[in-house]
Amino acid sequence: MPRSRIGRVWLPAGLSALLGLVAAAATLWLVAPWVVYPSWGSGSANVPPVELGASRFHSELAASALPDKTALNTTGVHPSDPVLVAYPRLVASQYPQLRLDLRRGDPEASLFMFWRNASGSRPIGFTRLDHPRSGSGWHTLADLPGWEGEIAMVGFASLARRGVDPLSVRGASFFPASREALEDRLIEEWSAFRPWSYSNSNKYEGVGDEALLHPTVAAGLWTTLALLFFLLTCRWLRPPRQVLVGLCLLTIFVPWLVLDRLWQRQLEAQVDASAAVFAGLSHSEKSAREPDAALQRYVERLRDRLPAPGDTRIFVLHDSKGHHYWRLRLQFHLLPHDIFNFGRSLERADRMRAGDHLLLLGELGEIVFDPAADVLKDGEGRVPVARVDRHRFGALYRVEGRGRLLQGEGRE
Amino acid sequence: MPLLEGIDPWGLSVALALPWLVGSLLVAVVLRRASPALVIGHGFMAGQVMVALVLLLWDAAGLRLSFMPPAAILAGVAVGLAFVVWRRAGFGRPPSPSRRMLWNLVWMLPLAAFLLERGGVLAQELALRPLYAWDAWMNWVPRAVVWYHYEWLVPFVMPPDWLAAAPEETVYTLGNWRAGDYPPGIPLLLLWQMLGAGTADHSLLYLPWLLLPASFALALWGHLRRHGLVAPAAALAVFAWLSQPFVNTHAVLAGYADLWLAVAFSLGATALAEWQRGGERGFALLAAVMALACVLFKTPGLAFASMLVVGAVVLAIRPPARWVWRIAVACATVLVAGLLLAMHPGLRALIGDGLAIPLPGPLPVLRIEPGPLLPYLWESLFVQANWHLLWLLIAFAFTVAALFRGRPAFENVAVGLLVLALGFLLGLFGFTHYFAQAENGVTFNRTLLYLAPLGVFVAFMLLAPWLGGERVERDESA
Repeated sequence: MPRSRIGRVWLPAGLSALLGLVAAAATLWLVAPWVVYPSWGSGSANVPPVELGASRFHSELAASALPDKTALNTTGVHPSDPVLVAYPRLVASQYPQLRLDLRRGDPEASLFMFWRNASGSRPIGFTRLDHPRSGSGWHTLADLPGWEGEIAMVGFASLARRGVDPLSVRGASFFPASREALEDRLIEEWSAFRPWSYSNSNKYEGVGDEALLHPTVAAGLWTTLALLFFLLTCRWLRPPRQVLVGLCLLTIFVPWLVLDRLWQRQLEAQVDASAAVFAGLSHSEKSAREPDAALQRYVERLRDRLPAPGDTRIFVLHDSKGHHYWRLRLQFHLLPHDIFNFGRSLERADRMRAGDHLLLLGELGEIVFDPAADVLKDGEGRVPVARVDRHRFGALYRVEGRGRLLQGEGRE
Repeated sequence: MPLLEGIDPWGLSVALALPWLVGSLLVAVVLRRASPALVIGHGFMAGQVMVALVLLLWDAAGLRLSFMPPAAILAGVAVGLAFVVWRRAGFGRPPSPSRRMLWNLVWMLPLAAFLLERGGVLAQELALRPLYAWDAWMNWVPRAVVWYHYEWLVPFVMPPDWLAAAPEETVYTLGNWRAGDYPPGIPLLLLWQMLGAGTADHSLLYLPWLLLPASFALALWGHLRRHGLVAPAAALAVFAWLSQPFVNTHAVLAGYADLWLAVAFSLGATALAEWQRGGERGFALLAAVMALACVLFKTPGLAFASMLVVGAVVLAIRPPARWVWRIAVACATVLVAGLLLAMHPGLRALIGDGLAIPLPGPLPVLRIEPGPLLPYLWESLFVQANWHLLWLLIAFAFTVAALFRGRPAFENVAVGLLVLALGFLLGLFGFTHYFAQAENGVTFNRTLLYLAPLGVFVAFMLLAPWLGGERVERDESA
């Protein structure tokens, strides 16, 4: 390309495109608080944040910290469960967002936040927070029912499936709707590490559920505004179409590249997390580090008690509907055994024949084993069996004869 | 080395390389004048189709499945194809690199850096992590494991058929009710890796998932260069394809079939585009292979294969362009109007339980149930982080093409197939009971993935007149 063409055509247009990107970024930065915080009210941006360190929190029984039974009944927190509470004084309308830093044991546990009004005239406010297992996360309080007036108590409780989950709050900071808080929040939310979950095969959000702004939206706005600025300047520059299209393309790919850097950081953090668990192990050793390692050990125990694959069929019963992780993982680990993995009762007893096996996974209260008669039975059917194995995960039986249904025969 | 314990690395290497070699040679024979990038890019998928067919035929002949005999067959085919290629082209001295080629290498450096960086982390993650993706261990991998154990293709059936099977029959069923009816393509290509590696359980068995987007990147490069794009623009297209988070996720959380269907459909569409552009019938044959791949990989592949057939028929009979245009515009208008109307709760209440349309074969019954799809579509394309800014890029390319070239820009079968496929998906999720899948977010993005590779190609192809080195429209200011 002749140097005169570069200097005459590409350079001014290129500078214009670059300026368009800068101008668009500056514009978005300027208007961001009004765009992102529109319903949070004004007048609060200048107040300093209220920061509650770990020492401000102490443990109280839920019954005394949260005398309102509605809050307890709705969240499932028991009156004797511990709640970490602190007693700040802050005006709710001035602090529409919270940065919470904590550590807890069970990543599946539900995290709840409670608050009480200074006047005591309003019911205890509460909400469930979508928070990483450990570490910091931001939460929007502005639109929560009851987050109003003067707040005199805030508390946090973590509820696992099997009772209380140990929780320690390292800090809770309440922020106004200020530009500084917005910058901090966006940076932290966009760069937070989110490890793989099964839903990643269905979609990638890029941020958590409570994020203030998706990075893709921000990049899309940046791109659109930058294109508009550039196209406006082209009315004077009048570059050839080749130059116009090429620079528009670059205008799209600069924000694209920024998004891709965020994604690259996620991938690198994911590799580090995976390496912390699996690095240096052989493939068979990795099984012991998987979340279902206990199930895999149970499967090995079952294999020792089962005939070779192909010599038996296995009916798996479990009290679940749809695609249940535990029973499906068991089926996968038991391969290449021939498995029928549907149902929670003996509704298919008439299909079972001698030599089959029945695996009752977990609690199936309706099905009863009668050791005197060597029979498994429930309201649907009965099957002559011999018990092969009993374990906290399940019970394995060998079918000794043809099963039968109880329909039309009178239920036992 | 712990990573290679329990696996035959040489067997796995042959299992990876041999189909790719055979497929590339087949493509080289079928296409008389094609760049190495195009040949190798299409060759990967063509090779996987050959592996699937060889294993199916081997089993149909009642022979015990193992690695060496089918590998020997493929190797023999490779030798034969190589001979044909050699006879046709000869092995002369390669041309000396021109100054332009050397200058292009400079532009390639950023792309190379990206490929190393991204490929590196994805490869590390794939090698570190045992099989993770849910549908992989629920639907696709079990069949390969069972076939590997029995050394024949044991039939997988629906649960009622399993219950009714006679005692002497060996049949299996899966924990997902309908999965027994899924096509065999993915389990077959996994079985091939297992046979080569000598194990049914290892992370490295899923390397084809990592190589798949790379193969399409090569094909994308080859096609776009044929369309006249300069190397930097083609490099940008490759970056656009390989940088998408959802594509990366499906490559590294391996075992799903969606990326395979996406690439197969897109390769078929790009092949048809070449047939339209240059008239070389080899591309039509290639498109047929890709249509077969679509059918082998997923049940929805039947629909996408049908679209490729429609595209081929249109190219063959060459109806007047204005008629195709009018039909397309009319259908698009009805679709958009329908999607807008479906936002209204009154319409949904009017249809009520609606009507059900039974579909043939393994396809499910379609219940007509309009749903407010547009917000979910917007969220998927422009809010979630699945695609970076792909859909903004596609919208930009369509706008530029419409403004600067008008209707002739869109008289391209690849554009038509992208629009047809998108319209099909919007109709399916917007007007039938599949709306529930868009609502719960389980399959919607995965079906949009089918359009991602073709979307990248179409976007850059539409911009090609202004991104090319030779056919620049001079003195046409904005």
